[in-house]
Amino acid sequence: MMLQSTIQSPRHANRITAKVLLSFLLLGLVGFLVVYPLYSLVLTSFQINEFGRDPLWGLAHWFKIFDQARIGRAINNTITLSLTRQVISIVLGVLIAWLIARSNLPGRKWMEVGFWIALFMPALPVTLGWVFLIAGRSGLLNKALYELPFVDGPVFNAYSWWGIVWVHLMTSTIAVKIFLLVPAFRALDSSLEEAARASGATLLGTVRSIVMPIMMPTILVVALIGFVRAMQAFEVELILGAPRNIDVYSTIIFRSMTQEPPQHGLASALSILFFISIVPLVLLQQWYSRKHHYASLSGKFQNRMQDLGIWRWPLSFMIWALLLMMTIVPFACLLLATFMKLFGMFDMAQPWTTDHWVNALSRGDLPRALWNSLRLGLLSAFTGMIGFTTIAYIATKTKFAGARALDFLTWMPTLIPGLVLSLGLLQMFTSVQMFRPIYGTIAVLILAILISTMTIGTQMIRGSLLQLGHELEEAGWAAGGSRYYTFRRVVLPLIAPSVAVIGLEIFATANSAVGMIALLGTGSTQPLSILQLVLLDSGKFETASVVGIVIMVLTVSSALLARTISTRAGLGRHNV
Amino acid sequence: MDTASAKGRAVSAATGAEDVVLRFEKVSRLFGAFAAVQSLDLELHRGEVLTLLGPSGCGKTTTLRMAIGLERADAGRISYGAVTVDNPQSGVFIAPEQRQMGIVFQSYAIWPHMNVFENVAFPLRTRKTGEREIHEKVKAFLDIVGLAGFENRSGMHLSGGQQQRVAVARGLVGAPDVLLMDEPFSNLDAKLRDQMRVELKELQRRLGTSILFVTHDQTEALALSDRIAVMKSGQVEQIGAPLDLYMNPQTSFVRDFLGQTLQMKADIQCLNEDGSVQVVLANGQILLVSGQNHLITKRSSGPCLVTIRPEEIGIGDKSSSQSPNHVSARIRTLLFLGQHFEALVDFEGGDSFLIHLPRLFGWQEGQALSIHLPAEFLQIWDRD
Repeated sequence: MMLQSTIQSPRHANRITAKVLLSFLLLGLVGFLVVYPLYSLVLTSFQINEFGRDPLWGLAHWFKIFDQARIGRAINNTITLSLTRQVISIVLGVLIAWLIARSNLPGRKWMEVGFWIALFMPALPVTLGWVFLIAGRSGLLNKALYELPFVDGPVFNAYSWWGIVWVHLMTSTIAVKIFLLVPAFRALDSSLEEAARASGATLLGTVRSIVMPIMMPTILVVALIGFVRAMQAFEVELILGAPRNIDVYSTIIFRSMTQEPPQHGLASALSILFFISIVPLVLLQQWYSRKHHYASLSGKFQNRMQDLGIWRWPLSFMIWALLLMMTIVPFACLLLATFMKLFGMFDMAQPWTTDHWVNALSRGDLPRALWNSLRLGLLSAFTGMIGFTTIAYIATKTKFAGARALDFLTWMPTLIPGLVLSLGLLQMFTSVQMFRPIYGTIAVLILAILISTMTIGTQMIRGSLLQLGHELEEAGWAAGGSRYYTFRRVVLPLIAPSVAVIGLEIFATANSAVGMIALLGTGSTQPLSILQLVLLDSGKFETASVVGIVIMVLTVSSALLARTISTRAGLGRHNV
Repeated sequence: MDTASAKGRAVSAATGAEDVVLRFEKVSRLFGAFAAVQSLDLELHRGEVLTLLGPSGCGKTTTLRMAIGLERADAGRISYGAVTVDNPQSGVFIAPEQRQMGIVFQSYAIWPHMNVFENVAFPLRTRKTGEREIHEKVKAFLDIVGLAGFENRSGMHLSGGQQQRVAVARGLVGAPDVLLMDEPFSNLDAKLRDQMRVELKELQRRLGTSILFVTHDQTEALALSDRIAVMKSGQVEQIGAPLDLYMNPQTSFVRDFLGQTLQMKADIQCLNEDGSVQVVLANGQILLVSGQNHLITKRSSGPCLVTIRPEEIGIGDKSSSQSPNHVSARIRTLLFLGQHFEALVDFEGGDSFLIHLPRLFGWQEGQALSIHLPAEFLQIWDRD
């Protein structure tokens, strides 16, 4: 009797209610943040009078989409550009991932670090670096090639369809494939390969008839993820496509918002259409990965390296060259550019100057933007670490009724292109009366960053929570620890490295993000990335390079820190 | 017949003259500074099951992997029939795919994207065998391993035992002279393991394939092997027929690794005229040991260790305790294990030992026993 009365203490009952209440509150908040921006886009797309007035409904914006040839070309470009770089990057990605994960390629551990850095390289500064090298007549590399007798014109041109493809390949497109595929290749039981060798298959035969078919589901899923990401690309196309009017879907939306007067209705209709066309791709990817999941069959896990023989030297050299082009080359070019009087003009009598650094540092907007970027990064990382851990914990470890709904909502942001999110948030904050005071503060930018990092953040923490196993926590409760106490003393220390890595990823994203905050970060809240975009748009390449260097240093150092933490903590795989 | 399988035949034909299918001569394999295998000599005879037995890290799996070329030797020579397949001194190394051996991995390594038929057909396809021959052979081997009718089952939807059978069929379908098996039963549950053991033994007798078998499980090794090589630190400690190894271990490592022994500290008193040895236990009890079991140094005095297998112990009641080689003891703790009892008994004035007691009697804790240690089963060892 006495025992029973202690168990049913009122305190216990209250705690459960509070917990459930908190869970529902969180579900509501996440749902609102993910769904409401889309909802306001739908509303705006049907509003035919001026945005901000009492709405007059109609279908005019939707009809307009279909009678503009420009939009058709943009859709065409979006698809062909995305497909081209996915095909190239998946072939290279699979090859390099296999070499790193399963062969005795020399230096493979450092290559993995290299691709990790490449994954974090911010797109705009890298674009600028390549502009410096291969932009038409003034490109450094093109000029060097002029010296050759049989060359009489620029060989490469960054401002072109292939230029866009190239710069994308040199930023994260290949690196993300390797990041996702290496753990998958590593998880393959090497006795599957060895059984084939023993059965008479050569190394290449084994890769062709055993490794590739087994990995095919994973490869296709990675390709689909890549394709969806590629469709959402924005800033590279904005800079490199402009001179020749090569538009893609996201740049069209951006242009219609930045022209005078801004075309809210048309941009919203385009955004909704964009969102809808991406949904089936993501559903396809999720359906396919569920259907074709080859469960690990092995009891004892083995991972032994395949001998490449003499080929390991040239292959190693080629991968190092690629890594160099992804990291050091754009950084060096950009650094060089910051010390030049005129971007890329070596022919002048005195091409070198430190004026840009002096000006940038003495002018008010760089220090202010740096402060904004740091503030944005730190606050986003801090809120994200707390928020995503809470969401992941509720979605995995509690019997909360809405856990599935919560998990689904955290996947939603992968469907929303950064620029669409930006537009949705803009309209949400300007059209809903109670949000007006927040508009124009850094909170808006933080929300944008949090929404766009929500999927990777919660999924990665979820992954490490699932690895924990129930018993660790149950032992804590059995020992008399409350839910919260056990979480703090048992769960949190064990998942802390993953949480820290997520924090750094959010920080890096906040510093390099362009699309998702392009329409939000203006005036006093403008961070470095948007400042760089504005400088580029107005042709101030030298100052933009200074800003680019600062962004690169910030993101790459957080990448290195994250790498150190995950290696120390033995976080082998990232669940994405 | 095509050239690849003709070459395979050529290897077998050449071995006909000799009885050794696989030979290791002074083979070493280093991992950094650690020698996984050290100057190993080993011969696998035609038609025999030779088991490499030892604790983990003793080099048994490395030896097996060197046999097929998944690991390269750092020194020595490995020959398959008359052909040298690995000899670092002369730069000879034949790739695994050219050795035409069969292998069964611990994880079975069933390719999940292929069905049962394609898994088994794979070795034949790499040898460009004709489609009809492939069908006949795969069908024949699936029959042999008891998987007829499973041809179209996906590799993912097989139980542990079925995966094992597929792996064996795949290993044998190319008619190799040697089948290598790396802990093939360790992922099966106890019942299935007993069954597969019998099946494999019958299959091997039927086909006459030589098998190099790796395990850390002594029961498996004793049951399956024609010969066992007990390995320790990358070298063969002792090699021989299972019964011989069990009854006459030559080193304390082999003695302790195979089965259980009771070990009593004693002192040698004298050598008798008939060759037997008289020893005295710590409690003053005198034991007689047959002369042929005075194993190591044949000394006539000094401290020693007297050992016996628990199953050789005789149990009598207290009345027989005056006979020679009988020790008085008392049951301290009694555990019923189903087939028999396990009892912790205290020897009078001496140590305690775990022994087995038959189920038929009503044993009780505290009961006095007279334990018979037959002279012919006692062995004398140096104290380590």
